[in-house]
Amino acid sequence: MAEEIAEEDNRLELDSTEVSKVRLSERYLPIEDRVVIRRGLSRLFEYFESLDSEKLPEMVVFPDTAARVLFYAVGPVLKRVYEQRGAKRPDFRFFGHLERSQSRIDRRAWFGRGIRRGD
Amino acid sequence: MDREEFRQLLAEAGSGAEVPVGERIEEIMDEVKDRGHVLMIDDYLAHGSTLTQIDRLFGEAASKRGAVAPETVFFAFFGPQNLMKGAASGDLSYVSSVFVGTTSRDSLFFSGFDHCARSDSFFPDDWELDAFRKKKEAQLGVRKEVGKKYSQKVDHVNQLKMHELRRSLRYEAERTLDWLESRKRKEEGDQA
Repeated sequence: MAEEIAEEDNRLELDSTEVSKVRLSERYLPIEDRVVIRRGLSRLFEYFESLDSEKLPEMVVFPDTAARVLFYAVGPVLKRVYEQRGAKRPDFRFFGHLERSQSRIDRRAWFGRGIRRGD
Repeated sequence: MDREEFRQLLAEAGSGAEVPVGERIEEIMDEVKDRGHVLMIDDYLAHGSTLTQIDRLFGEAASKRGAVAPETVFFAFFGPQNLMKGAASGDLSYVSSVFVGTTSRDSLFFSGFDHCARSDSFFPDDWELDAFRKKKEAQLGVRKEVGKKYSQKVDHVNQLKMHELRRSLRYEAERTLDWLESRKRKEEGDQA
């Protein structure tokens, strides 16, 4: 998929309106991350497609602070799906301060080492 | 979503306020009741401890009010398959299902902005970024032993320019939707 995205980049960069967006994306998101985003969003889209409209989530929760920024990646997908179905947009919630909350969600196992990939 | 809506959203998210996760889950249950569907989205699922604890908190909230927890589905963009299997086969009563976007282990997934995402807010705009920088700089004054480390992080956050990152994420999402459309068209063409 990385090659496919790189080819897309090359093609899009031929368009003057797209070139700055592509460059910006390359600057902030390494190709490996863009692959994960594409695969992730595709999988999420497939999941929504498999649901009946009444089963679409009424609430979307980002339980971890590290995942909050993904709101921006997930947003356009949710918008597309809910608009296509004519469904009410879901509410969003973010869990704040997980590590300091009374009911701690223990992220230290992978945060503490500063390494978030599996070992 | 416009800027003002986003600020409201951020305020609701409780940034800057100490909101125990248990309370947040009770709020969710109040709002969606037992007929609702909740989707939890995480960037990375390592070994399921988050799931287990969320499951426990939903269970506690449900038993406290004698209600059934909402149907909760957990999605992670990235997670090793072996750990996923472990998480899925655990004693998770209240998390209905778990799935991941990819199990690829090649990614540095969001390594570039991981640390800023860990901070207290997710920076809707530059003024948030400034607030974060000032806060960290204030901390540096009293935490000299970790000063260098924080300083590097603060510099890095400044360089990131969160609004550009947001644009990039949205752009990648739009491209993914276009890619899915074209793949669908191609499949339909192949079938025809």
